[in-house]
Amino acid sequence: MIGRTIAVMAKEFRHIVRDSRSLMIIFIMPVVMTFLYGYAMNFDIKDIPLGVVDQDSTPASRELTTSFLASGQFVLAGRYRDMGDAEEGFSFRETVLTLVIPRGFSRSLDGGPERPLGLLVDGSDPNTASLALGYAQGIISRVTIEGSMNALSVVRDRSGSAVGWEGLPIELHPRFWYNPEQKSSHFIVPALIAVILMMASALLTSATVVREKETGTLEQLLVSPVRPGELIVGKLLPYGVLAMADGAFILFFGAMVFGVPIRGSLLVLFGFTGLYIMAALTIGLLISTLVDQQRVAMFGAMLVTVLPAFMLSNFIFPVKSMPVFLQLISRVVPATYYIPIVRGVLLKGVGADVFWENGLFLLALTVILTVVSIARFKPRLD
Amino acid sequence: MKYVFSTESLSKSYGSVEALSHLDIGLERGTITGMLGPNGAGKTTAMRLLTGLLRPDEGRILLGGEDVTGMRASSGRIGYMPQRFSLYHDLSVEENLKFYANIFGVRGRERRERTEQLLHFARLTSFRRRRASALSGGMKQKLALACTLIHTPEILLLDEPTTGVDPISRMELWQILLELKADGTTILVSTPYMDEADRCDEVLVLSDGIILDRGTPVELRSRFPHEIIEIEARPVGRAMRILEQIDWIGDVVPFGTRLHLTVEGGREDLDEMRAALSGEGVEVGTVQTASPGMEDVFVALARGADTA
Repeated sequence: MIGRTIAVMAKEFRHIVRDSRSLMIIFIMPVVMTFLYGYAMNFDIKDIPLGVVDQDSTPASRELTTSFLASGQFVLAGRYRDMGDAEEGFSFRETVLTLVIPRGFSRSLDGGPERPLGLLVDGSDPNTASLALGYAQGIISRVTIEGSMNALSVVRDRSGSAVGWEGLPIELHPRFWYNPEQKSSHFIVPALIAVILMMASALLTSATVVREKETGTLEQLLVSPVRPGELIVGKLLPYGVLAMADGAFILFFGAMVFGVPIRGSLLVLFGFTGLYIMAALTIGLLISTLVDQQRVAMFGAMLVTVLPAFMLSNFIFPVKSMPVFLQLISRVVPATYYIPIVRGVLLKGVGADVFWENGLFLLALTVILTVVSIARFKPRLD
Repeated sequence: MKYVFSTESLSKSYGSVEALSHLDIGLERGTITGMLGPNGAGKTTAMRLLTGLLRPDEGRILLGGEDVTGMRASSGRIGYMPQRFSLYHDLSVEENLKFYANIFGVRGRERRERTEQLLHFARLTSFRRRRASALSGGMKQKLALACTLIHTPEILLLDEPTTGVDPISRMELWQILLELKADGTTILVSTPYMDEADRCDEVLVLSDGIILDRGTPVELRSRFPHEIIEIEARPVGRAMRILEQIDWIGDVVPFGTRLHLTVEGGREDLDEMRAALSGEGVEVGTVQTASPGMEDVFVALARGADTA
């Protein structure tokens, strides 16, 4: 039994080594995808076009505008006389956020009647809108804390009007752990590695059994002592070795190009990556036993791996805010279990103690899919 | 027990199409049985039923007296070469053989000896390191046969091994089969080529899933109640049309540039035929009576089955 499994393995190793086209695909495709997604999927928003309606026209109101521009998150796109003008700015997509400083703003800082500031935001792109709003509120709250908590420190010119603030009593120094520069690539690239690994691994095995069906070699194997289990396991292990090499390559390549730190133990990372890869390989293998054409198998493998790994794995979109049936699906998507591991080990340096449950799930999935593949493998032609 | 491998009333349908109906085959040890028939006659279905790749709707299969109906032939007693036998093209001649040896548990010295023997047998010794993809059609078939023989099966089932193979390789393949037979191997071989039937000990003529006739090649021919006139005529097409009009001529079957005319004994009028042909501008060459070949027998059997 072991002998036949080894015979199948030896044969598959030869197929792998001699199939230079597939080898190219699994090493070049990740490079292209890492570059493409790593650079294109960028959530950092800089240079938000800012419109300003300054009806106060005092040094204090100009100071407020300046603190917006000085933040680096906004650039001045236009000044408008009134709200009507400002609306045109939105219509022509000149501005995303408009700051309205009402008359009397400067006096309100000096204890005069309250004059609320206005923030108008183009909500047609909710993500950018909420980010822009967040940035703007941050800037304003800093200004108002300064204004209300320490009115005495308002700097005045000779005529007595406020021109600025100094001597802040409270200073906010936010510190972002694990990703201090707040690069979205640090967040995206580890998860991207998970998606690419899933796809490459499933693609590799999806063709193996179907190829033998298509070329007719399977008919010969079926009239031999080889049992389905020996065939499936014999095919799984060589591709496991190949996919591990591919995984290490993708990990180092992604980390190197995007400067993603590797803070945790490589041993832990590779251990869990191995489990993840085996789960992906068994998905491909199951597809391979179910269909009759290589093209169908490869298309199927892409479909069932890429989309769920992207959409239903907390890669970008939080699964918790999805409908229940999608949440249920996400529970069986291997990437759901692997992405926290790869992010945790790379960015936080977390160890195996945190993720053993996820690892257990991946292992269970691999075993289940292997058993199902063997059971679904039809040793007959009718 | 007369037969090493036999079937009783084996039937198989695909939906409403009956691919094989009540097939009775008996293979005697050390013989070659030919299964003769055109495409779609049910030859491949029969082979797949015999190997257990398909399950019969009814009937039994007996291997050495033991009922193996519906069981996949995995013991190694049977060697099976499918019609579309495909080698692993990215493996060399030797690696293909080695893989099948390992799968069938042929190991160590036995494997080395058997490999050498088969390479020699199939005249592939000097191509041992060549990738299967770089072999000619005939060499591929010989390698396929060698892979099928690696575990020295008692019974060999070959589904159209010579289809699409050049005449010399065909001859070589048959040479190998005759040698195997001499060593006591029991062989069932299907073929669409009528001339190959002459090399078999028994011939089953299969058409539309039923056995039309069976017997030794000599028996089959002797049961053929007609005479054959072989005629050379040009152009062949026009000659066929004219000959089909003559009432004492039965079937007109083209064989290259010749025509085989089936005639009921004693009724022929060769002068009338010559006159009719040359009257229409057909050039007539040699005319002679020939002994019926397997193809003539088959055409007559198939026609008989159609009109029956």
